[in-house]
Amino acid sequence: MTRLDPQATSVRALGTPEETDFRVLFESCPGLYLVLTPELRIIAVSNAYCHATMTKREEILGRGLFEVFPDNPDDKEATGVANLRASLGRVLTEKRPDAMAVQKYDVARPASEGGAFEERFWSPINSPVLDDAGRVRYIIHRAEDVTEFVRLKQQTAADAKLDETRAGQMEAEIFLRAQEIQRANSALRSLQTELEERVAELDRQKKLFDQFFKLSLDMLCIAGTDGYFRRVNPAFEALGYTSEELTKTPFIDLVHPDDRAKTLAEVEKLSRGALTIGFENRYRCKDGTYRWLSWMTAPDPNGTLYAVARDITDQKLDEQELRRAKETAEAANRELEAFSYSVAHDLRAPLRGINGFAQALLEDFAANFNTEGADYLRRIEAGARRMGYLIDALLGLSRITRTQLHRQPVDLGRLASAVLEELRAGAPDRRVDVVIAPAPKVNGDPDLLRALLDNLLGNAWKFTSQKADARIEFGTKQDGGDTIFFIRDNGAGFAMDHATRLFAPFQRLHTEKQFPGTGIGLATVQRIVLRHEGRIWAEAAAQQGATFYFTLGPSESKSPIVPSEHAQ
Amino acid sequence: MSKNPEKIIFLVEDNPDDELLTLRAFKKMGIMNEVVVAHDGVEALDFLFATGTHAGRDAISPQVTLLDLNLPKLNGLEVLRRLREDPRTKLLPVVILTSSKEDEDIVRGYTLGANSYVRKPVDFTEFAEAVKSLGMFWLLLNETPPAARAP
Repeated sequence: MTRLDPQATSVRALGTPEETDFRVLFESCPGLYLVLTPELRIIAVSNAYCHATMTKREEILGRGLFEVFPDNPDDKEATGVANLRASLGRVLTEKRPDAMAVQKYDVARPASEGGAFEERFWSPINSPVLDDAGRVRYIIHRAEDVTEFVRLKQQTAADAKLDETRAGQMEAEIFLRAQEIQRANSALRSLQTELEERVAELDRQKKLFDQFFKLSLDMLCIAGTDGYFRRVNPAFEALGYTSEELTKTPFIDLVHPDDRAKTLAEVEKLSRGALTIGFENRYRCKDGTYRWLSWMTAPDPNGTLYAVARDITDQKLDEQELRRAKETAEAANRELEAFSYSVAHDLRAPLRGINGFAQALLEDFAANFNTEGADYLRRIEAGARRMGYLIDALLGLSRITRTQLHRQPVDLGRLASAVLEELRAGAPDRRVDVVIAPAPKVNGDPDLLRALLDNLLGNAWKFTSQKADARIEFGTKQDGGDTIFFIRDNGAGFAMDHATRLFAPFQRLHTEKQFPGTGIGLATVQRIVLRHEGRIWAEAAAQQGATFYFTLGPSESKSPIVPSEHAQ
Repeated sequence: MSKNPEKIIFLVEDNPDDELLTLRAFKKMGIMNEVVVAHDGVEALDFLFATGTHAGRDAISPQVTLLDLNLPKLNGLEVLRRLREDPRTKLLPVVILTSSKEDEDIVRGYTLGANSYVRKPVDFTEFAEAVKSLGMFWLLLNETPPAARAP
């Protein structure tokens, strides 16, 4: 039931563009519609109705229904008016739609054409339109012209039954066909929906691809084995060309002449279906400079190449710089070696002279010198000798930095024993308590480690020389994943606050008279430890001995400790 | 100590201080053998092959040759190489006596056929002791190959 705005229909002129022109809509409806007042006066009619009843709108509006559409006077059994009137009456009373059975209701030709009645059959339905108070405002009379259909049914009187059957069949067929068509339409509609969804999905994916293509910082492109770029992403602008310029030029023209041959070879490989991974070549930028690119390319069967290029110019420069730096370092090292070598010889020779002749004077011309003179000569001699030791020590220190580390499993415990044996052999009268704990094997240079222990144990030996109950200990302790080695003695020790430059060359904490030494030993030891990527530190107290701790490898995971076999 | 004058010690040393000190050391240790000195590599070869400045006399085979490495004109290793190439001097006992303790030199010395490698210490007393040991060994203990003996 629709509610009509009382102002809506005839009062309003062809409304403003924003308002829907319901009158035009109604009159254009593809259906036979007639709108009546409760007094059965015609107030609206669709074009189709006029056409079907051969009437003109302006001639029938406002007039009574039956005045316009009387019964066919020639038809004695006409029931049209009566039945229609009855149906309309029911609608008015019951305020409900009323469908009529197929009704014969002839219509008259226009007066201009003679006014004769033509047979018509209709299937009408009458519906009320109620106002707010529930009263009938209008009645919509909707009719279906079924004249042809009825005629079809009447046609062959003899085979009425057959006709009926045929008609029935036709009906059934038509019905079935109608159903089929409905189903087909439905299927078509869902296919359409699917198609639309697929297209939408494709569209989304294309947008996604476009997004990635545009945003990628890497240079993406699509090219052909014919030698041209087909599409490049904005990242390619890094070369200084526009996309147009890039797609117009055969890409080989942009490649550095030295790299062209191998680039062509690579494209050839791609055309045979192989992938390109990590291929490098140089491309000429718009400004004439070259940049190194690293390529990842995949071909498809049609000869289209999908490629990603990464600018590795900086890396290449770094590589070159690194190589140059390495060469410089190696050259410097070689120079240092040569220098050290000549230093050793050229400095030592005069020292020999100084020492030798001072001694010669002492021996051969002893009579010419008094005690003081002899003392001076001895000092000269001692000085030269000491200088010799220092030169040797410095040479040793420099050698540690220069030589190649040859790592292999070393048993430090055994090495320590050997060193202490030698020390004992040099001073058989000394009684020293020696404790060597089993230690895990380490991966290190045997010569350097020997020198390390020579120095540390030598120091321990030296600084306990004044002690009657000397004790030297070599052991290990664990700290997290690291093995820490230590050499402990109970000798002269040193005060920790003086030890800031313990490992610096020539720094001594005792006089030469107390304990002889060059002051290079610990510098040497530290350097050996550092070359093994370890750490070294000391704890001591004056007159209470010293402990030197060291590790021989970077902490934790990269420890060069080899599993011990517990052999001594 | 040996008083045998036939056993000659050949010293190849360019440094006059070292020369003097070495001779003094020999004397101090009681080594009375004749010591011949050459001051550069060429002179050393001339003496051993009786060529050049030493031409005109029979070649002399010293009991032992003390060879320094740093020599002008021709260095010690080159001298050694040539000595070893020549059948006359191939078996001559040669002791390299030098300041260098570099592994390279030691290896090269032995590779080229030196019989021994001794480092010259700075301290003279040590040096004298070394000379004494050398003397004791090469002059008294060591047997020279027959071809090298003086005719």
